[in-house]
Amino acid sequence: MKLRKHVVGAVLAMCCALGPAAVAHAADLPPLSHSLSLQTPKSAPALKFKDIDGKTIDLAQLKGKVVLVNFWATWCPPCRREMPSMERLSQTFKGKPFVVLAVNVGENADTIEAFSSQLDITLTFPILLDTRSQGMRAWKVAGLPTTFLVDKQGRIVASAIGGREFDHPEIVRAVRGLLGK
Amino acid sequence: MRLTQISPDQARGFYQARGFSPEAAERYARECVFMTVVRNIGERPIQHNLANWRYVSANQPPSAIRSKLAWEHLWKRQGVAESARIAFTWAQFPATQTFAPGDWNQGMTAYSVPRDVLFDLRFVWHAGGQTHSGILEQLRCADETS
Repeated sequence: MKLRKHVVGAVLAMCCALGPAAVAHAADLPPLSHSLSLQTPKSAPALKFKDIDGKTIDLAQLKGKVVLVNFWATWCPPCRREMPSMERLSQTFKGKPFVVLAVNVGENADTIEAFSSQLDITLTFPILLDTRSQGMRAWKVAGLPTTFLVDKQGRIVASAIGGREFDHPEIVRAVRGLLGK
Repeated sequence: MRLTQISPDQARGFYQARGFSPEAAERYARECVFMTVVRNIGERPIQHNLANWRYVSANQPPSAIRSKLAWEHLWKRQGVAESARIAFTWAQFPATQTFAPGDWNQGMTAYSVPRDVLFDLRFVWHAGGQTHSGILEQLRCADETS
Protein backbone atom coordinates (compact mmCIF):
# COMPACT_ATOMS: atom_id res chain seq x y z
CA MET A 1 0.00 0.00 0.00
CA LYS A 2 2.84 2.32 0.86
CA LEU A 3 4.40 1.88 -2.54
CA ARG A 4 1.06 2.51 -4.23
CA LYS A 5 0.61 5.70 -2.27
CA HIS A 6 3.88 6.95 -3.68
CA VAL A 7 2.77 6.04 -7.18
CA VAL A 8 -0.42 8.01 -6.68
CA GLY A 9 1.58 10.86 -5.28
CA ALA A 10 3.78 10.78 -8.35
CA VAL A 11 0.79 10.87 -10.67
CA LEU A 12 -0.60 13.81 -8.77
CA ALA A 13 2.69 15.62 -8.84
CA MET A 14 2.74 15.21 -12.62
CA CYS A 15 -0.81 16.46 -12.76
CA CYS A 16 0.12 19.67 -11.07
CA ALA A 17 3.33 20.14 -12.98
CA LEU A 18 2.06 19.39 -16.46
CA GLY A 19 -1.59 20.32 -16.17
CA PRO A 20 -4.61 18.05 -16.42
CA ALA A 21 -4.47 17.60 -20.18
CA ALA A 22 -1.02 16.10 -20.01
CA VAL A 23 -2.06 13.58 -17.39
CA ALA A 24 -5.26 12.66 -19.16
CA HIS A 25 -3.43 10.42 -21.61
CA ALA A 26 -1.67 8.47 -18.91
CA ALA A 27 -4.39 8.25 -16.34
CA ASP A 28 -7.69 8.17 -18.21
CA LEU A 29 -7.25 4.63 -19.36
CA PRO A 30 -7.03 2.18 -16.49
CA PRO A 31 -6.63 -1.29 -17.94
CA LEU A 32 -9.81 -3.28 -18.56
CA SER A 33 -10.12 -6.45 -16.50
CA HIS A 34 -11.27 -9.88 -17.60
CA SER A 35 -12.40 -11.45 -14.34
CA LEU A 36 -15.91 -12.49 -13.43
CA SER A 37 -17.00 -12.86 -9.82
CA LEU A 38 -18.95 -16.06 -9.46
CA GLN A 39 -21.99 -15.81 -7.23
CA THR A 40 -24.34 -18.20 -5.57
CA PRO A 41 -27.12 -18.36 -8.16
CA LYS A 42 -30.06 -16.13 -7.34
CA SER A 43 -33.08 -15.06 -9.34
CA ALA A 44 -32.42 -12.03 -11.49
CA PRO A 45 -34.64 -9.01 -10.83
CA ALA A 46 -37.14 -8.06 -13.49
CA LEU A 47 -35.74 -6.22 -16.50
CA LYS A 48 -38.19 -4.94 -19.06
CA PHE A 49 -37.52 -1.85 -21.17
CA LYS A 50 -37.91 -0.61 -24.70
CA ASP A 51 -34.82 -0.75 -26.83
CA ILE A 52 -33.63 2.07 -29.07
CA ASP A 53 -35.86 0.77 -31.88
CA GLY A 54 -38.95 0.92 -29.67
CA LYS A 55 -39.20 -2.84 -29.19
CA THR A 56 -39.95 -4.05 -25.67
CA ILE A 57 -37.38 -6.50 -24.33
CA ASP A 58 -38.24 -8.57 -21.28
CA LEU A 59 -35.58 -10.65 -19.57
CA ALA A 60 -38.30 -13.01 -18.35
CA GLN A 61 -38.91 -14.00 -21.97
CA LEU A 62 -35.29 -15.06 -22.37
CA LYS A 63 -35.32 -18.06 -20.06
CA GLY A 64 -33.50 -20.92 -21.72
CA LYS A 65 -30.81 -18.52 -22.90
CA VAL A 66 -27.66 -17.26 -21.25
CA VAL A 67 -27.88 -13.48 -20.94
CA LEU A 68 -25.17 -10.90 -20.36
CA VAL A 69 -26.77 -7.81 -18.80
CA ASN A 70 -24.58 -4.72 -18.96
CA PHE A 71 -25.49 -1.37 -17.37
CA TRP A 72 -23.79 1.54 -19.07
CA ALA A 73 -23.93 5.12 -20.33
CA THR A 74 -22.19 6.88 -23.20
CA TRP A 75 -20.49 9.36 -20.86
CA CYS A 76 -18.86 6.56 -18.86
CA PRO A 77 -15.33 6.03 -20.24
CA PRO A 78 -14.89 2.33 -19.38
CA CYS A 79 -18.40 1.63 -20.68
CA ARG A 80 -17.43 3.05 -24.04
CA ARG A 81 -14.20 1.09 -24.13
CA GLU A 82 -15.73 -2.27 -23.34
CA MET A 83 -18.57 -1.99 -25.84
CA PRO A 84 -16.67 -3.34 -28.91
CA SER A 85 -15.53 -6.40 -26.96
CA MET A 86 -19.13 -7.04 -25.94
CA GLU A 87 -20.09 -7.08 -29.61
CA ARG A 88 -17.24 -9.50 -30.36
CA LEU A 89 -18.43 -11.75 -27.55
CA SER A 90 -21.94 -11.63 -29.00
CA GLN A 91 -20.56 -12.60 -32.41
CA THR A 92 -18.54 -15.44 -30.89
CA PHE A 93 -21.78 -17.08 -29.81
CA LYS A 94 -23.90 -16.13 -32.80
CA GLY A 95 -26.49 -18.84 -33.40
CA LYS A 96 -26.23 -20.07 -29.79
CA PRO A 97 -28.75 -19.34 -27.03
CA PHE A 98 -26.77 -16.34 -25.85
CA VAL A 99 -28.00 -12.76 -25.64
CA VAL A 100 -26.32 -9.49 -24.71
CA LEU A 101 -28.54 -6.77 -23.28
CA ALA A 102 -26.90 -3.38 -22.90
CA VAL A 103 -29.03 -1.29 -20.54
CA ASN A 104 -28.35 2.39 -21.02
CA VAL A 105 -29.00 4.65 -18.08
CA GLY A 106 -30.70 8.00 -18.49
CA GLU A 107 -30.01 8.76 -22.14
CA ASN A 108 -32.06 8.80 -25.30
CA ALA A 109 -31.76 6.91 -28.56
CA ASP A 110 -30.23 9.86 -30.42
CA THR A 111 -27.41 10.17 -27.89
CA ILE A 112 -26.74 6.45 -28.03
CA GLU A 113 -26.75 6.35 -31.81
CA ALA A 114 -24.37 9.30 -31.94
CA PHE A 115 -21.99 7.26 -29.79
CA SER A 116 -22.39 3.93 -31.55
CA SER A 117 -21.89 5.51 -34.97
CA GLN A 118 -18.37 6.48 -33.86
CA LEU A 119 -17.38 2.88 -33.20
CA ASP A 120 -15.41 0.81 -35.68
CA ILE A 121 -17.81 -2.03 -35.06
CA THR A 122 -21.60 -2.20 -35.48
CA LEU A 123 -23.46 -3.07 -32.31
CA THR A 124 -25.98 -5.78 -33.11
CA PHE A 125 -27.31 -6.54 -29.62
CA PRO A 126 -30.32 -4.74 -28.13
CA ILE A 127 -29.68 -1.50 -26.27
CA LEU A 128 -32.38 -0.92 -23.69
CA LEU A 129 -33.42 2.48 -22.37
CA ASP A 130 -33.53 2.71 -18.58
CA THR A 131 -34.35 6.39 -18.70
CA ARG A 132 -35.04 6.83 -14.97
CA SER A 133 -32.44 4.32 -13.71
CA GLN A 134 -35.13 2.09 -12.24
CA GLY A 135 -33.39 -1.00 -13.58
CA MET A 136 -30.15 0.00 -11.96
CA ARG A 137 -31.82 0.37 -8.62
CA ALA A 138 -33.64 -2.95 -8.93
CA TRP A 139 -30.40 -4.69 -9.78
CA LYS A 140 -28.60 -2.84 -6.96
CA VAL A 141 -26.02 -1.39 -9.29
CA ALA A 142 -23.74 1.06 -7.48
CA GLY A 143 -21.69 2.31 -10.41
CA LEU A 144 -21.14 2.07 -14.16
CA PRO A 145 -20.33 -0.16 -15.84
CA THR A 146 -21.67 -3.18 -14.02
CA THR A 147 -22.36 -6.47 -15.75
CA PHE A 148 -24.22 -9.61 -14.77
CA LEU A 149 -24.22 -13.06 -16.28
CA VAL A 150 -27.62 -14.74 -16.11
CA ASP A 151 -27.94 -18.47 -16.66
CA LYS A 152 -30.62 -20.31 -18.61
CA GLN A 153 -32.79 -20.54 -15.49
CA GLY A 154 -32.86 -16.76 -15.14
CA ARG A 155 -30.41 -16.68 -12.22
CA ILE A 156 -27.51 -14.30 -11.75
CA VAL A 157 -24.42 -16.47 -11.54
CA ALA A 158 -21.62 -13.96 -11.98
CA SER A 159 -20.97 -10.23 -12.01
CA ALA A 160 -18.30 -7.75 -12.97
CA ILE A 161 -17.82 -4.21 -11.73
CA GLY A 162 -15.77 -1.96 -13.97
CA GLY A 163 -14.75 -2.25 -17.59
CA ARG A 164 -13.95 -5.65 -19.06
CA GLU A 165 -12.52 -7.16 -22.21
CA PHE A 166 -15.52 -9.35 -22.80
CA ASP A 167 -13.96 -11.46 -25.52
CA HIS A 168 -11.11 -12.45 -23.24
CA PRO A 169 -10.77 -16.27 -23.16
CA GLU A 170 -11.68 -16.36 -19.48
CA ILE A 171 -15.07 -14.76 -20.09
CA VAL A 172 -15.68 -16.72 -23.29
CA ARG A 173 -15.00 -19.89 -21.31
CA ALA A 174 -17.48 -18.86 -18.61
CA VAL A 175 -20.22 -18.24 -21.16
CA ARG A 176 -19.46 -21.48 -22.96
CA GLY A 177 -19.68 -23.32 -19.65
CA LEU A 178 -23.13 -21.90 -18.98
CA LEU A 179 -24.31 -22.74 -22.48
CA GLY A 180 -23.23 -26.33 -21.93
CA LYS A 181 -25.30 -26.73 -18.80
CA MET B 1 -6.36 4.03 -5.99
CA ARG B 2 -5.65 6.75 -8.47
CA LEU B 3 -6.78 10.38 -8.70
CA THR B 4 -6.63 12.56 -11.76
CA GLN B 5 -7.87 16.11 -11.70
CA ILE B 6 -10.82 17.08 -13.85
CA SER B 7 -10.30 20.71 -14.77
CA PRO B 8 -13.06 23.23 -14.12
CA ASP B 9 -13.62 23.56 -17.85
CA GLN B 10 -13.91 19.80 -18.27
CA ALA B 11 -16.46 19.73 -15.45
CA ARG B 12 -18.45 22.58 -16.98
CA GLY B 13 -18.43 20.93 -20.38
CA PHE B 14 -19.38 17.51 -19.06
CA TYR B 15 -22.37 18.67 -17.04
CA GLN B 16 -23.64 21.25 -19.48
CA ALA B 17 -23.62 18.51 -22.12
CA ARG B 18 -25.76 16.42 -19.74
CA GLY B 19 -28.35 19.18 -19.34
CA PHE B 20 -27.03 21.31 -16.49
CA SER B 21 -27.52 25.05 -16.79
CA PRO B 22 -24.30 27.07 -16.98
CA GLU B 23 -24.95 28.27 -13.43
CA ALA B 24 -25.44 24.78 -12.00
CA ALA B 25 -22.42 23.44 -13.87
CA GLU B 26 -20.40 26.35 -12.56
CA ARG B 27 -21.35 25.45 -9.00
CA TYR B 28 -19.79 22.00 -9.43
CA ALA B 29 -16.80 23.33 -11.37
CA ARG B 30 -15.95 25.51 -8.37
CA GLU B 31 -15.08 22.33 -6.48
CA CYS B 32 -11.75 20.60 -6.74
CA VAL B 33 -12.81 17.56 -8.79
CA PHE B 34 -10.87 14.36 -9.28
CA MET B 35 -11.55 11.32 -11.40
CA THR B 36 -11.17 8.62 -8.78
CA VAL B 37 -10.26 5.07 -9.72
CA VAL B 38 -10.31 2.22 -7.22
CA ARG B 39 -9.22 -1.25 -8.27
CA ASN B 40 -9.13 -4.39 -6.17
CA ILE B 41 -5.76 -5.94 -6.95
CA GLY B 42 -5.94 -8.22 -3.92
CA GLU B 43 -7.48 -11.63 -3.43
CA ARG B 44 -10.36 -10.74 -1.14
CA PRO B 45 -13.37 -8.50 -1.63
CA ILE B 46 -12.98 -4.95 -0.42
CA GLN B 47 -15.67 -2.45 0.54
CA HIS B 48 -15.57 1.28 0.93
CA ASN B 49 -17.93 3.86 2.34
CA LEU B 50 -17.22 7.33 1.04
CA ALA B 51 -18.83 8.83 4.14
CA ASN B 52 -15.80 7.62 6.11
CA TRP B 53 -13.25 9.39 3.95
CA ARG B 54 -11.89 12.72 5.16
CA TYR B 55 -9.88 15.47 3.55
CA VAL B 56 -8.03 18.15 5.43
CA SER B 57 -6.11 21.25 4.44
CA ALA B 58 -3.85 23.29 6.68
CA ASN B 59 -5.55 24.78 9.74
CA GLN B 60 -8.92 23.36 8.73
CA PRO B 61 -10.90 20.62 10.44
CA PRO B 62 -11.33 17.36 8.50
CA SER B 63 -14.17 17.46 5.99
CA ALA B 64 -16.35 14.70 4.59
CA ILE B 65 -16.96 14.45 0.88
CA ARG B 66 -20.33 15.95 0.03
CA SER B 67 -22.77 13.09 -0.45
CA LYS B 68 -24.72 12.42 -3.62
CA LEU B 69 -27.87 13.06 -1.62
CA ALA B 70 -26.66 16.51 -0.62
CA TRP B 71 -25.83 17.30 -4.23
CA GLU B 72 -29.22 15.97 -5.28
CA HIS B 73 -30.96 18.41 -2.92
CA LEU B 74 -28.87 21.26 -4.29
CA TRP B 75 -29.63 20.39 -7.92
CA LYS B 76 -33.32 20.09 -7.21
CA ARG B 77 -33.30 23.55 -5.63
CA GLN B 78 -31.54 24.85 -8.72
CA GLY B 79 -34.11 23.25 -11.01
CA VAL B 80 -31.72 20.81 -12.69
CA ALA B 81 -33.69 18.37 -14.85
CA GLU B 82 -34.09 14.77 -13.71
CA SER B 83 -32.12 13.31 -16.64
CA ALA B 84 -29.21 15.61 -15.79
CA ARG B 85 -29.44 14.68 -12.11
CA ILE B 86 -29.39 10.99 -13.02
CA ALA B 87 -26.23 11.51 -15.07
CA PHE B 88 -24.68 13.44 -12.20
CA THR B 89 -25.50 10.74 -9.67
CA TRP B 90 -23.97 7.94 -11.71
CA ALA B 91 -20.95 9.99 -12.72
CA GLN B 92 -19.91 10.37 -9.07
CA PHE B 93 -17.79 7.74 -7.41
CA PRO B 94 -20.17 5.29 -5.68
CA ALA B 95 -21.01 6.12 -2.07
CA THR B 96 -20.42 2.52 -1.13
CA GLN B 97 -19.47 -0.50 -3.15
CA THR B 98 -17.99 -3.96 -2.81
CA PHE B 99 -15.23 -4.85 -5.23
CA ALA B 100 -14.44 -8.49 -5.83
CA PRO B 101 -10.86 -9.27 -6.89
CA GLY B 102 -10.37 -7.79 -10.34
CA ASP B 103 -13.26 -5.35 -9.99
CA TRP B 104 -12.66 -1.65 -10.36
CA ASN B 105 -14.59 1.50 -10.85
CA GLN B 106 -14.11 5.13 -11.57
CA GLY B 107 -16.14 8.21 -10.78
CA MET B 108 -15.80 11.79 -9.71
CA THR B 109 -15.06 12.96 -6.18
CA ALA B 110 -15.23 16.65 -5.32
CA TYR B 111 -13.47 18.56 -2.56
CA SER B 112 -14.27 22.05 -1.33
CA VAL B 113 -10.69 23.26 -1.36
CA PRO B 114 -9.44 26.40 -3.11
CA ARG B 115 -7.17 25.98 -6.10
CA ASP B 116 -3.51 25.57 -5.28
CA VAL B 117 -4.24 24.79 -1.62
CA LEU B 118 -2.67 21.53 -0.48
CA PHE B 119 -4.80 18.94 1.25
CA ASP B 120 -4.55 15.35 2.43
CA LEU B 121 -7.12 12.66 1.74
CA ARG B 122 -7.60 9.85 4.23
CA PHE B 123 -9.38 6.95 2.54
CA VAL B 124 -10.75 3.91 4.28
CA TRP B 125 -11.68 0.45 3.09
CA HIS B 126 -12.70 -2.84 4.65
CA ALA B 127 -11.43 -6.30 3.82
CA GLY B 128 -11.69 -9.58 5.66
CA GLY B 129 -13.50 -8.01 8.59
CA GLN B 130 -10.79 -5.42 9.12
CA THR B 131 -10.66 -1.72 8.47
CA HIS B 132 -7.73 -0.31 6.55
CA SER B 133 -6.80 3.23 5.68
CA GLY B 134 -4.31 5.19 3.67
CA ILE B 135 -3.47 8.83 3.20
CA LEU B 136 -2.80 10.64 -0.03
CA GLU B 137 -0.73 13.61 1.02
CA GLN B 138 -0.36 17.06 -0.43
CA LEU B 139 -2.97 16.87 -3.14
CA ARG B 140 -3.95 20.03 -4.89
CA CYS B 141 -6.06 21.18 -7.75
CA ALA B 142 -4.25 23.01 -10.47
CA ASP B 143 -5.57 26.45 -11.30
CA GLU B 144 -8.00 27.04 -14.14
CA THR B 145 -5.28 28.26 -16.44
CA SER B 146 -2.65 25.63 -15.60
